[in-house]
Amino acid sequence: MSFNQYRTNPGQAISNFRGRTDTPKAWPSTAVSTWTNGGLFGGGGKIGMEEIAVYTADATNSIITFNSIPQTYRNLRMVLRSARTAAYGSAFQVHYNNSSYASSYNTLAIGNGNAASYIEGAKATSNRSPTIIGDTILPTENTGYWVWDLPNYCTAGKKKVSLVRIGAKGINAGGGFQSLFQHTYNYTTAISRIDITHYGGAAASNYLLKVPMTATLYGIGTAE
Amino acid sequence: MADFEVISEVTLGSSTSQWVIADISQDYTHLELDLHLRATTVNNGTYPGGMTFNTFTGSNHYGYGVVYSNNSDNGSASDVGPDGVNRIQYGPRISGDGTASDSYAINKMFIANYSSTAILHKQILWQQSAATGDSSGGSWFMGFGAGAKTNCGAITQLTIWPDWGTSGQEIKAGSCYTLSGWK
Repeated sequence: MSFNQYRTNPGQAISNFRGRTDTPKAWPSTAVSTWTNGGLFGGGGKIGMEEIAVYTADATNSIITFNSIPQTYRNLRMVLRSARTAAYGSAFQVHYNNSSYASSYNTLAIGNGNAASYIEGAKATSNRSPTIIGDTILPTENTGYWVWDLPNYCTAGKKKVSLVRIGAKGINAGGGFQSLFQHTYNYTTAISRIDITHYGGAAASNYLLKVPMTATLYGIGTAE
Repeated sequence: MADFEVISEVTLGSSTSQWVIADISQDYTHLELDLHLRATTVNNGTYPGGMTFNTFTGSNHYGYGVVYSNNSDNGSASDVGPDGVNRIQYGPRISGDGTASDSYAINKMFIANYSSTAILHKQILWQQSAATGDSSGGSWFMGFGAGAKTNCGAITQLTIWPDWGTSGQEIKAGSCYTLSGWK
C-alpha cells in the first residue's frame, strides 16, 4: 500500500471501508508498523473471515480477475454463487499470478455426472489446464456453486493446493455435476492474482457471465 | 463478536507422534478445522490419521463413514459404528514425505455443537485430498466422510496422530492448522 503511514486518516466514512484492505485509512497518527492484527481499533477482536472483493456478473465479460490480493491473511476462500453463462455450458479454469502454463498445475477430482451415480477418480496429466471438471456453469437452471479453499496462499515453503467443492445440480435434468476437486499450483510462490476463465472452444460471447452470478473472495486468519 | 472467528493458527515446529489441540475455547457453537498434514514417513503414499475428542479413553464410542477414490480404486466406501471403534478412524489424511515436496494433505473438518453439554452425540463432517495428481504417478486420495462420538460432553481437546499401524510414524514439522469457531 502506498500511503504515508503517519498520515492515514481520510475524509471517507469508515462504513465504506472493506476489510483490512482499507483498514489503515481509518487509523490516524500512528505508525503502521505499530499495529497488530485484530487490535487496530482497540477492541482486541479476533480475526475471522473478511470479504476482500466481490465480482458481480453483468453479462459483458467472461473472465473474473481478483488482482492485488492482500498478503495479510492465512487462507483464502472463493465462493461462486449462481454461476451461469450466456449460452454454452462450460468448464472453467483457474490460474494464479497471471500464469496460464498448463504444466504449472495439476488436478484431481471425484464426482458424478448427470446420468450416472458413481464416484470416479481422475488423475490429470501435466499438459492439461487446471479445469473445473464438468459443466459447472450452465445456460439452464443448473447454476454452479463453488466453495474454493486455498490455505497458506502466501506462506513460504508450501505449494498452493486448493480443495474445492463444486455443485451444479438444478431443476433441469439435462445437466449438472457434483465434484470434490483438488487444484495444485506447483510452486510455493505467494498468490497475488486469481483469474477464472472459461474452457469452451466457442466464441467468447457464449460464455458471458450472467446476472445474478457473484464471486466473492474472502480472507481468513492472519498471515504466517 | 463476529459470527466466524479464527481461534488459533499453529504451524508444527517439531515432528510429533501425537498432535494435541488443547484448551479449545468454549465461546462458539461449532468448530471448523482446516488441517494440513505431512508425515515423516519417506513414502510416496497417503495415510490415514486417527482423531479423538477430548482425552483418549479406549472405549468404543466412535463411528465413522467414508467415501473415497484413490490411485488404485475408483470409488470405495466403508463405515463402522456407531460405538464400533475407539477413535475417528480414517479421519484426517496425511501425505507421506515421499510425495511432491512442499505439499500437504488438506483436511477441511466441521464439528457441530462441540461446546454443548446437552447434545452428547458429537458429529464431525469432513472432506479431504492428498498428494498431487501429476502424470508421474504416485499415490493420491480424495474423499469425504462423517463421524460421531456418543456420550460426549463439551469438546475441549482434539488429538491427531498417524494411524496406520506402523510404529514410529510422526506428523512432520511444517504441518499446520487453522481452528475457527462459528457462533
